[in-house]
Amino acid sequence: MSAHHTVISPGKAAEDAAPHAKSGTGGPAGVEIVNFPQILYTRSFGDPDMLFVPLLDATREAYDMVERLSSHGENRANAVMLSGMHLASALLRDSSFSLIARGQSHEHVYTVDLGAGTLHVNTRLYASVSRRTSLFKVEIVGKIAGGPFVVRNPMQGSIITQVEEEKLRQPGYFASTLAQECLRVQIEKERVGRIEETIGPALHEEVRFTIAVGGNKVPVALRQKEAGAPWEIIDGRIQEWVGTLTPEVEKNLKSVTNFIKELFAQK
Amino acid sequence: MSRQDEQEDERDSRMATVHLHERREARYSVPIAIEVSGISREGQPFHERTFTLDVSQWGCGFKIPVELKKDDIVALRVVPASSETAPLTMSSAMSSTKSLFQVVRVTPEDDGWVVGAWKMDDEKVWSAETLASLEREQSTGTEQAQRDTDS
Repeated sequence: MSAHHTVISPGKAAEDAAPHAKSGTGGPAGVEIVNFPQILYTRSFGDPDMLFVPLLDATREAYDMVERLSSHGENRANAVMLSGMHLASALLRDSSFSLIARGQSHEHVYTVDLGAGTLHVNTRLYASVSRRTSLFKVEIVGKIAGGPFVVRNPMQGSIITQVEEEKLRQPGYFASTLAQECLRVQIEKERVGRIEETIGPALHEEVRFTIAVGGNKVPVALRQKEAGAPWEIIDGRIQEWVGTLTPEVEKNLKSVTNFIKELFAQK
Repeated sequence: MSRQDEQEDERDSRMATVHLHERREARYSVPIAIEVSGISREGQPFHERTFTLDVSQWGCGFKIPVELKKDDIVALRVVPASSETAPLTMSSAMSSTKSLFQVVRVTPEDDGWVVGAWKMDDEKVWSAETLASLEREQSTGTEQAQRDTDS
């Protein structure tokens, strides 16, 4: 599709996403084009499962236009402005978009920076795993030109995951897969946190690892309270004692820990 | 449609027409030299010099040879004063920085399109005082020319 025929059709994306998306409504969103005086607002198609892909495509065309105009001698700042205007015009051709003043908050915010070549999405995801439902505020950042998008926790700045663009193009990806991934990462962090909380001066030695049991990853800790004491096996998910190592297994563990101790001593 | 939907639609329509009330304001038939920039239907950049047909604090009308459509965004700047390009005195009160305008109406004419556009930012492209004085200046000039013709 050529640059001058850019058409944003979030409604089409919504139809594609509908069988998979958990929510039937798209919700409101603001699309901010950096250095543009107003925000492009949509009340119905703001959900990333509806808007992300068409907006990324339109943004990419606008970004290509920046490069094309620059290579034809247009001042770079001017090229960015003209391409931004073109993108805004393309969005406004979709009747679900209108211009509004800056300064209002929206559930989903898309920030297009044609100068830096980046697309930021600040959004909320809902996920349910094991009867637990959570709301996540996430920031999804990537290069308009291509490459993976990084999903961050905007409060902590920590990276939750990195996603290839083709995955983001899958219908309902944000509401289903990405939301579940955010929850899985959070639960994992909480598990690790719980294990870390229990490490105290009372422990003599500890070994932590994760094992695959019936398709699930289970965090496990082996703890020895004092030298010569038996090694306890702790279920990291619930911090529960599940048994002790037999002397034979303990011997194997000792050979592993001794090997590592020697390695550290040499260093 | 539920009452809530109707209220939201009403709110949206209000939000979509920011500054609309401010557009019901004095409009002056003043030919100011401007440069209009944008992207054509063919995806090519254009920078067209033309004159305003009328001007208000938040909008303007002009004729342009490039086809524009409703909701296109264009950049507009006042061309600095020079005797060749501007028939009226362009005071220094007028900004020569670019300001963005949204096209609100387009009427085809034989040799171009007459475009009505409204300003998206609060750049003072032209001040109301300047516009009023320019129109006074213009009408005084017309009256003088009429008197000269009569005599």
